[in-house]
Amino acid sequence: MTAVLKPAPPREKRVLLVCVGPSPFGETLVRAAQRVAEEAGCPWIAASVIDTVATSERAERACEDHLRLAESLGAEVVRLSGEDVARTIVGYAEQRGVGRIVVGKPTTFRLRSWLFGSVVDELIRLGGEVEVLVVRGEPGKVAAHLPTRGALGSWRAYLAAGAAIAAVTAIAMAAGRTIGLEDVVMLYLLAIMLVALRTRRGPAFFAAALSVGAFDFFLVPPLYTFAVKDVRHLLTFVVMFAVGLVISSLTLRIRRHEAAAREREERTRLLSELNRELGEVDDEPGLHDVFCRRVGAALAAKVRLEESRSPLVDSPGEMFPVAVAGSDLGAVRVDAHRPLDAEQRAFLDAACQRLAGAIERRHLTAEAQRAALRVRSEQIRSALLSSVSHDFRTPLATITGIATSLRDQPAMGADEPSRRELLATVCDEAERLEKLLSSVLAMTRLEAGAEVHREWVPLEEIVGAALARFEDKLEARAIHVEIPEDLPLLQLDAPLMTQVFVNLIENTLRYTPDGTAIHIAAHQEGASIRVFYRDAGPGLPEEVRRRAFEKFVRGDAPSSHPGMGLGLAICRGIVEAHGGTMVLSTGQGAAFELRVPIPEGGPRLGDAESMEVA
Amino acid sequence: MNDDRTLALIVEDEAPMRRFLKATLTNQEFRVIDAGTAKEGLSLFSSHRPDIVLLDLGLPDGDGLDVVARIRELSRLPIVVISARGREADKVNALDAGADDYVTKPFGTAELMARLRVALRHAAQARTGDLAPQVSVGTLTLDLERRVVMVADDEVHLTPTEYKILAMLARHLGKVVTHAQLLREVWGSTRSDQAHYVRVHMAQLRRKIEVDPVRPRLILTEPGVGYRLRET
Repeated sequence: MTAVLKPAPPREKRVLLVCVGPSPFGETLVRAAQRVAEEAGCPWIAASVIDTVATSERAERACEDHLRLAESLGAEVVRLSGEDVARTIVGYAEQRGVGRIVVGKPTTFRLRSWLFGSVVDELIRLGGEVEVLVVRGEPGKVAAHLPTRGALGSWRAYLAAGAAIAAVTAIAMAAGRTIGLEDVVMLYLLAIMLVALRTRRGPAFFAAALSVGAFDFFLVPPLYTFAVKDVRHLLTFVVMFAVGLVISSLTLRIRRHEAAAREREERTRLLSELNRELGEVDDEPGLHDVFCRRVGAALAAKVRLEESRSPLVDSPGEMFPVAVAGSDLGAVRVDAHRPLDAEQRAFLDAACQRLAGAIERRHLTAEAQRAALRVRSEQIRSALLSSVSHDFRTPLATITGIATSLRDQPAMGADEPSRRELLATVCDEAERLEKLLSSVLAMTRLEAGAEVHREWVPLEEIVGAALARFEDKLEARAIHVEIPEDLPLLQLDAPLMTQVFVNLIENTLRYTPDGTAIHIAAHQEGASIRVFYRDAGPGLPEEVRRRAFEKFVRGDAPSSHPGMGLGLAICRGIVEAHGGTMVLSTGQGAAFELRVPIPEGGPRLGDAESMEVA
Repeated sequence: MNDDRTLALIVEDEAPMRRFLKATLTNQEFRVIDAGTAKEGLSLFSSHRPDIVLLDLGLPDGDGLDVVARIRELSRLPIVVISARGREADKVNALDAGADDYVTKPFGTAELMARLRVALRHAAQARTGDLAPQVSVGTLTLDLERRVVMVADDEVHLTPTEYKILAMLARHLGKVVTHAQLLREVWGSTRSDQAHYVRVHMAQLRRKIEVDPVRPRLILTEPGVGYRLRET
């Protein structure tokens, strides 16, 4: 888990790891490790490496005893599994930030170590920065070489090996002089290889030995004896045996590698599938879910994620700490049949990285969206501010002008009629300001994404309230309103919806001459109500028609008529916030069509009887 | 000297507005005491026992609703609140808490005085138990004793529900009545899913008594709040 690991502590305090094996020397090793750890004042771990395929039960138990001893001395105990001891140990050491590894080196000679390099050599080679402390074994204490498990194979395999060799022998004997002895050797080697391909080491070596014996007895003169007349044949036997051993070893190794490669491929596939599925999920709990499911399936274990704030104590399984930016995850808990081996750990690490990536991605996306929203908000605000300051100033200027005049020039307001007229203008301008303010407030409410507060309202009430806001200003005009009696009620925010009509009427008052009529009509069409607003005036100029609903567009040059270009934009915003639409309509004058959806199951104006008081 | 002019308590934090209110009310033959904070206002209320309170809901040191509730614990005197446009919920809450009426900023003198006078009149009627048996508004005449409704000399037949609505509005002549209040008093219900009952019947009622139901001159709509039977 290198990508998500917490940073390693300083070197001196780094953890010490002692590598425990089945040999009786292990006890001494553990105690030695404890001494070193105590001196250094650092925590220490005792680790055993079990090859789940090859290690025998006796070996496992011996290791277990040593581990228990270590635990009683204060070590943290870890059971690793893997084929290659050195590689497994080094891998784990890296993960835990181990600074020193303590290992034992037996003094007795072992052919295998001499040929292929001992565990200690491997550790030193792979360990990198990690110190390797070698404790010499005590002379006399023989490292018992315990047979590996499974290498023996079943009796059936031996039988098959025997049968193969017997078959070759029979063929060779039947062929007689037509096949030379060299070719027979090849046949035997072929048989050994086939046995190695299908069984384990035991039967394969047995096949090698048996083939030499059969060759000698049945085919090499003097026949039917183990005696050898020609010394050259001895060499043949030795080489044949050696080659047989090598071939079977190589074959076995190939098989193992092939199996490992297949497993790796499988895990890669699982990882990419995990990645894909993570990419499809949006929320963090979903990501956790996908992770636990997929990784659990891959490892054949129960996988759980825990948060750093609430660790699941007393839970079964191994715990792997993780640290993911932007999340509360603290650890992954894997409850498998046996401890994870190095390959599985690597897979888990890669899976955790994917998960971390997915979580981070989610955070970044959300952050980016928020940032974009903030930018847009800012833009709107500054545009609004400049528009507001212009359009508020004009009526304010009028009010200030008149008020100061009345204050400073008493002659101006001397006679009652002119005084009334001036003050009436002040009131008008103030009302205009009030409507602008009301409009702007409605817009800020919408832009802030505030929920529209709805109640059941008949459309005629909204229209009536809007008309009432203008009092006597509409006196000189003909107002035609056609709303059928049985129109269903709508779920509306009454003050907001009233503002829509207020804005439309305000525009009419501003841009049409006195006396111009206003028509408002509505009818139900399917699941919505269509509302038409039309005035009999000159209508919107061509260049404005296209952009009528954009903010800050005006029908006239700014100086001639005060008023914001926000009016229609706000109307549409309010209507759309109710789930409706608003468009320009055709016809003479300024014409608009609004469509508002009728919620299902709503009351109608004609339902009065059912609501009569008992 | 016994001053029997009506004593008004103004609670308003904005100084210019306070000056304007004080001047207007004084000009209209009120005695005025004023406060700039909720705390001050409540203290003046206790010490002076005004006849009417004019209270701004947007005070710096306290929730206007709180003040209304505190005053109501001690007295039934009329309370008119000052609120802002776009804050209908505040108005409804204040009315539910016991306020009698409201004015919306910016408001004119006429509107303010009308609200104050109506509130005072109703308070006086409540004290004396005196209910006008006949209510006349424009062309509408409502005889509460005989349960007869006339519009310009023609009798109008209302359903029991419509009558109850009209009667309630008439009892509160000139004062606002919230949808919730109507629902409670006429239907005895507090269920929000029955809120539309009021609107449906109001529409019917308007068709019967208004010249132009879409532009009512008798029963005015206060969007987001309720209705008001206008006194001429």
